[in-house]
Amino acid sequence: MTELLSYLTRWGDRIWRASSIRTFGWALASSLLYLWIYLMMVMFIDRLPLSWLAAAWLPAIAMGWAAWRMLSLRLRLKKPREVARIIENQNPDLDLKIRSAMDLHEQRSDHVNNEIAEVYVARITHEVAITPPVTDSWARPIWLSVVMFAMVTVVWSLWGNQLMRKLTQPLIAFSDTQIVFENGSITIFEPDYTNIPGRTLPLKTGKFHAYPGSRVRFTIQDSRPLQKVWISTSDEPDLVVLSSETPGQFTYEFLLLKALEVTFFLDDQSRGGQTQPFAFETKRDTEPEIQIKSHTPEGAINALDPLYLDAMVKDDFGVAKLEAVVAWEGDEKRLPLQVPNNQRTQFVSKNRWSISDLVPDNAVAFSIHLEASDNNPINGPGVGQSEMLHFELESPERKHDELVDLARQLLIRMTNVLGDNLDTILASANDRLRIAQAHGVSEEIQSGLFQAQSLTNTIMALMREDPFITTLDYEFVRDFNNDLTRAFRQRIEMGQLYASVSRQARPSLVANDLNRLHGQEELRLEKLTYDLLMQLKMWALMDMERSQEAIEQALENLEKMLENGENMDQEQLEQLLEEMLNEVMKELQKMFAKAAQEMDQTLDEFMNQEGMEFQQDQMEELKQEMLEAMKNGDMEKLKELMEQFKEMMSAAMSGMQKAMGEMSPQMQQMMQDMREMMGLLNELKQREEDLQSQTQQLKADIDEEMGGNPSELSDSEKQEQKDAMARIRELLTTLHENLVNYQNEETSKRIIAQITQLKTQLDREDLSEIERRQIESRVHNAERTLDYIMRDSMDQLQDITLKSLDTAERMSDMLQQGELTQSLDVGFQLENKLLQGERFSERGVSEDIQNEARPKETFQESREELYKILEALQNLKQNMENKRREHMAESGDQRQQKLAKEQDSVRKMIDDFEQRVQDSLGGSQMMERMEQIGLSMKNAERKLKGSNLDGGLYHEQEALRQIGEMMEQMQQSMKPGQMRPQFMPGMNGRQESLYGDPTGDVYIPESERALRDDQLKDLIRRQLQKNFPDSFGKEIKQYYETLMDQ
Amino acid sequence: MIRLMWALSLVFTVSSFAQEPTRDAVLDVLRREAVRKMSGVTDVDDYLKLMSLIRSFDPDAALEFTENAGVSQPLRDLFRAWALHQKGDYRDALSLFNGLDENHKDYDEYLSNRLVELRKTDQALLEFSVLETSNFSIRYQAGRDEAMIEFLPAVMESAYSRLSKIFQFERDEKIIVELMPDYELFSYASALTKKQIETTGTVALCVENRVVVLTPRRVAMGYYWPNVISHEFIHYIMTKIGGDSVPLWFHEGVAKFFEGRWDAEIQPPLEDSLQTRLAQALAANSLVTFEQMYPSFAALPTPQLAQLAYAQTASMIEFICDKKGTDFIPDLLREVDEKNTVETILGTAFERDIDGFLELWKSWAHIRDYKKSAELSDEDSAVTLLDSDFGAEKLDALSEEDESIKKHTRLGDLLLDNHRYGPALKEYAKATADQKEPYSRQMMMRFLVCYEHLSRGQEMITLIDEQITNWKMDPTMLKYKAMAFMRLDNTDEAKSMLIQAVRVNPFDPKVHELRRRVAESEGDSETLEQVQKLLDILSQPIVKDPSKS
Repeated sequence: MTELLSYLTRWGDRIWRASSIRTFGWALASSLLYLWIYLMMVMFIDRLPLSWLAAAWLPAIAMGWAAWRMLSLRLRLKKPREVARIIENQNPDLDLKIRSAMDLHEQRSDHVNNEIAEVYVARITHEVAITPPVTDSWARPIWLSVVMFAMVTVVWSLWGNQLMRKLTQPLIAFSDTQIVFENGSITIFEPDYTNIPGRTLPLKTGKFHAYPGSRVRFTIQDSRPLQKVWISTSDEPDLVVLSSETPGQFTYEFLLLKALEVTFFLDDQSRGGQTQPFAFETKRDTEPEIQIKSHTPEGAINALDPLYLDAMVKDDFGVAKLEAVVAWEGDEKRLPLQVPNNQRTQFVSKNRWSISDLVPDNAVAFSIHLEASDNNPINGPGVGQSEMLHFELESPERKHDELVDLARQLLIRMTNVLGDNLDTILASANDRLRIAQAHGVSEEIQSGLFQAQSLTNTIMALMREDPFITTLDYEFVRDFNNDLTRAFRQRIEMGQLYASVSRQARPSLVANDLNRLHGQEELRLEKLTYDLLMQLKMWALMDMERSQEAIEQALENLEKMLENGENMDQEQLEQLLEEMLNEVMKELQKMFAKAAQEMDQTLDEFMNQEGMEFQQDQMEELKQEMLEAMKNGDMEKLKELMEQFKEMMSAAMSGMQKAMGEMSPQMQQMMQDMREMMGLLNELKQREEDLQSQTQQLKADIDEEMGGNPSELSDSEKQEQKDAMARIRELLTTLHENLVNYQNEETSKRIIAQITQLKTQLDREDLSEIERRQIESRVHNAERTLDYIMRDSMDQLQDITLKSLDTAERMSDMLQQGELTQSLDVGFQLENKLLQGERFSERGVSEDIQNEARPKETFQESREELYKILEALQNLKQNMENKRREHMAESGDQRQQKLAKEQDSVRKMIDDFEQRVQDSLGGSQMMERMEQIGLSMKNAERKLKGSNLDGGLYHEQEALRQIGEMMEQMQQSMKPGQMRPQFMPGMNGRQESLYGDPTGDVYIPESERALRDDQLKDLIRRQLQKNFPDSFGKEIKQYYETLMDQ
Repeated sequence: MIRLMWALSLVFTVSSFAQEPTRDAVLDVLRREAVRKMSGVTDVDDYLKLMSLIRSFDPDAALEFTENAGVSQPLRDLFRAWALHQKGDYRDALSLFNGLDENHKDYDEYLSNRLVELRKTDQALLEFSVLETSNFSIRYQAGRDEAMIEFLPAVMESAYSRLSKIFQFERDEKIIVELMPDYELFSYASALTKKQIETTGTVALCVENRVVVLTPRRVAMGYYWPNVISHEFIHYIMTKIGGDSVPLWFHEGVAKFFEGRWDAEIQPPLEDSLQTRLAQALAANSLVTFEQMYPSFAALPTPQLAQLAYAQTASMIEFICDKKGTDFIPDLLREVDEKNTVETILGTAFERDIDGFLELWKSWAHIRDYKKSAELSDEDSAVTLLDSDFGAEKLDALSEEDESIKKHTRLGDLLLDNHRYGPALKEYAKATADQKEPYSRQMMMRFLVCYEHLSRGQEMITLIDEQITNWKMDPTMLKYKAMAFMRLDNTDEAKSMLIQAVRVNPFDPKVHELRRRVAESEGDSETLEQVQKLLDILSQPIVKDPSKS
């Protein structure tokens, strides 16, 4: 029986297990199905207030039901008879049998035969054992659950975020997409660099514009009790909950860097929803704009002339940095320019540079442009550039090389003409073929001569600008040209003879003539070609001589530097020494190259010649030794080595000269005279300076004797002058601004449009003659204006205006300092400039410009103002002078006569020199300059003789100025790579008319000429920047130091 | 002409062959006395034997003898190093030389100098490349001298095959030939100064058991190097056969007489210049005596006398060969020793004493009738040594001329620069119109350049023949002649001129370019290949001389 019960308990457990799984499966499947339906509903239903409770109720019921079912079944199956019944029900064969067996066993049956009962029970037990209960299949609900689970998972993975967002809210969705805030605001703080104040706007959806880097702040406040606010942006679509500082008020702030949309999601208990997007767009911070208003005309520029460049610089929020960018042969330099503090958004940058500040000495060409950076730190800085200007540095050396190149071409041409002449076979008049050939060659010769002539003319034109050309060279080329012309004429004559041979007119006579002329021409061409060859050789030698002098000068300076080396620190000295030695070696290399070229050899071939390479190697070694000695501080050894170096250098140079050919005695004389001239100039300078200081002393003494010179300007006169100067400056400034404003792209466009329009009008047929003429005149006028702008005349006019302004400022300074005499000088310069401007305005300035800027009137008015000052100054000067003269006459002072005599003796030095060097330098530009100096001295003498001390001083200063200028120029010309053209016939006048004062006029510090501080500083800087510390630079430095001490 | 300085270093030994026995005896005594005074010598005979072995190019015997010779250790080491040097074992020799102090008291001035020179030579030679041929070991510096190496082996082998037959010589070791890249190195090897080399024209030597030759590129205008090397090779053979007992006059006479046989089956006649020199001397009875020839031909007061000495001695050998046959020479060399001198052997053979022999020769020479054909130049034998390479002669400025010549020449040069050859020629003609003497070399070149461009070959040949006496030894003129023959389509002549030019100066690329043109016209691929190789070698940059670095 126990066995039967145990079987029944086991089968009962099995039934329960199967049934439980099945029940749970169904519950799970139905829950998942419900969940899936629910999620689908959440997905698609917007307006129902569903919550997570709705999602949970059915699964809860289902699970509860399942649990109840399992529990009740458990309780039922705990009873074996219940299990027996289930089994009996499942197996009709066992119907009642199990329970009967149980009865029998429990002796509830009537049957008493125990044995039978046991057997029966045993049989039934056996049957129960082999008849397990049939359990319900649980596969279906489980599978269904799995499927449903998968479906839910799919839905979650696809729309999880959205579902989550909806599920986590009390309301199922932000169903309202049109929410408008009733209160709240947007505050936009533009970035600092813009200086735009922050602005607050009502919180209305739509578009907002701000600069990148702006801070945007939303303040949300609504009458509805807002519980929660979320934000979503186009960049970050996920919702972010906003925190609330005070209940019902939410703020949100972000940095706007690029275009963005912001949407808010709200929960106000009753419903949810979202706002329409707030769109932000970024404004663009434009790069600075630079418009060049005026500048030194592009192209060739003299290295000693200043470069000016005026530009209008604009930026929406201000320029942080402005630079001039200079570029030359692979190198670049940036010069910071000033940006006015209070005008950063728009200002005019006026710049004047010395070329030496911009590019190194050896630069050939350069370009310059301005570059402005704005102050945008967010997505900037924006960089704007002006147009680029290109300049080529004029260099006397290059000009000379150009000339020599041309002369070489001429030599080739002449050689070929000579070749043609020698190639001509002159046969008897009867040899037709030969004659025809000779005729052909004759034409070639004629054309060759013609080309040679045109080359010669070009050379003559170039010579005027070549500072290294002397009168001898001029004469040579002139004679050469004359001879060439003769040869050309003769060739024409021969051409006619050839023509008559072919006409068979007097053939034998003609043949004789031809022979004679041909022979003459041969000799002439030989002479011309040979002379030209010799001339070229001479130029090459001169060139070398110049290099030699430059090197010698450099070495001399080097020695001086070593002598004065105590004042410099060791490192600086070492560096300087190395630089200078390198410079010297470079120069020597150049000389070698030129010598090689002259000898039609490559540099290698030339250097391979015996000794040359060796010498150079040795010099290089010496250079190293010198640097070594310098490093060790052994100055004695250094000086010794320096001597050796010099000796070797001069040996190398004389070797080169020997290789190239000796200089003619005439040339040698000339070079010697030139050196002597330099010495003479030094002497003149010294003596004239003495003289000038004596004159000045005399003037001061006399003034003192007279108890001070009472001829001074009254306060009212001073005020009057000041006003006049202010007026002149104002007039000129206005003119310049007008001109700058007028000259822009818009104007050109406008004029072009105007012309087009007027021309269209002209096409109409119904115009009367008068109307037509009027329109034509307007077209003409507009075209002239355009032409004026296009031809850079506007630039030139601006240039003149600026120069006048500059001079006016100088004059004003001098007046302020009470330098009346010098004010008068500058006043005359200003007068010249104003006149020049006036003349320029009369020519070609169109009515349009005239009306717009009134240049002619401005210059006229300025001049009139100027005359007021000049007149007063002249009177004053005259008065002072008269008083002094009277005083001297009364006191019988003879000191001025002594000074006049002294002046005369100084002048005679020039006369003597002139006579002595008449043969070699006579008639040269240098001598012309000397004569001018002599003339100034003569004038000084005359004035001093006439007791006119001011006049005397003026001419003494003038003489000194000219001496200084000439010395400077000579030094420059001796120094290769320096650019100042000197001794150019007619060049000074042209310089004046185009570019203002020759820069030389500020080079005499000792002449007590009052330089403006900036000019002086500039001069000193330039002098100190030069590679070789020349004596002139030292003088200026000393002067400056003295000035500072005072 | 080139002459040998071989005897310069043999100042002691040569005196033993002087004609007067009394003087020989005196010299011998003096020599022995000098050796006796040397502090490192304990046995004078041993020392003299060592010297003799070294001088007769027998390094192996010298090495062996050194071991037990009665000399001090420093002397022993020096002789060992010297012998090793002679064997071509530069490394071992140098390491020994480096351990020796040239100022050691055991060394006299000669030995001390030799030590320094050999040390420097070995140092340089260590860097040399070696080319082994069947019978020679040629040492040269890599670089431009490789151009010479293209030709040298063939010449040497040809010399060996012909001359060894004549002299019945069989080498026991490979013969060392050294091509010196500059005169400094050659100076160390030869113990001659630059001046001595230049005045005597000694550009090759048989010394230290080898033939040393200066590269032709460092000699202005080059020199006919095959004959010069052959000459030295004959000295080598003679020393090998006859040791150091052969007198100088015989050495030089044989070498001079046979030097041209390296390339010729039949004995070529004496050079024209030698014949002329000799004919003049015979006529004037102004011959150089044997005594005057000592101690060296280079020591003769003038180059003319040196040339005459060569002519005389070569003519004597010609006489001997004429009378006794060529084989007499090697036989004599094998017989000769200290007792059995050349003079004795000749005396026996001609049944006269040496004066009688000379008389016989003179009569023979008169009958032989040497021709006075060549114009003699006093500078024939001199050479100019160069610090840089001699490549091709270029047009250069004229030396001092009067202004008119200068003017027309410069105009001509201008025209030439502009490729106006006809007119340039006219200007040069004007420049030389009044000139009666031969043109200056630079003027000559100008004419040739113009003729060449104008394709006037015949004029070129005529001009060279008229103006240059010794054009066969003039590489520039040979080149122009070759160009002229090419213009005249005479390829054979052009070729022979070019071969001659190469034998005077193989370093002129232009010569090889011309060879290429000839080879192209003949389809000679072998020459084309060689020319290409040579041009590649010659286009290499010139390296600094090792001896200068």
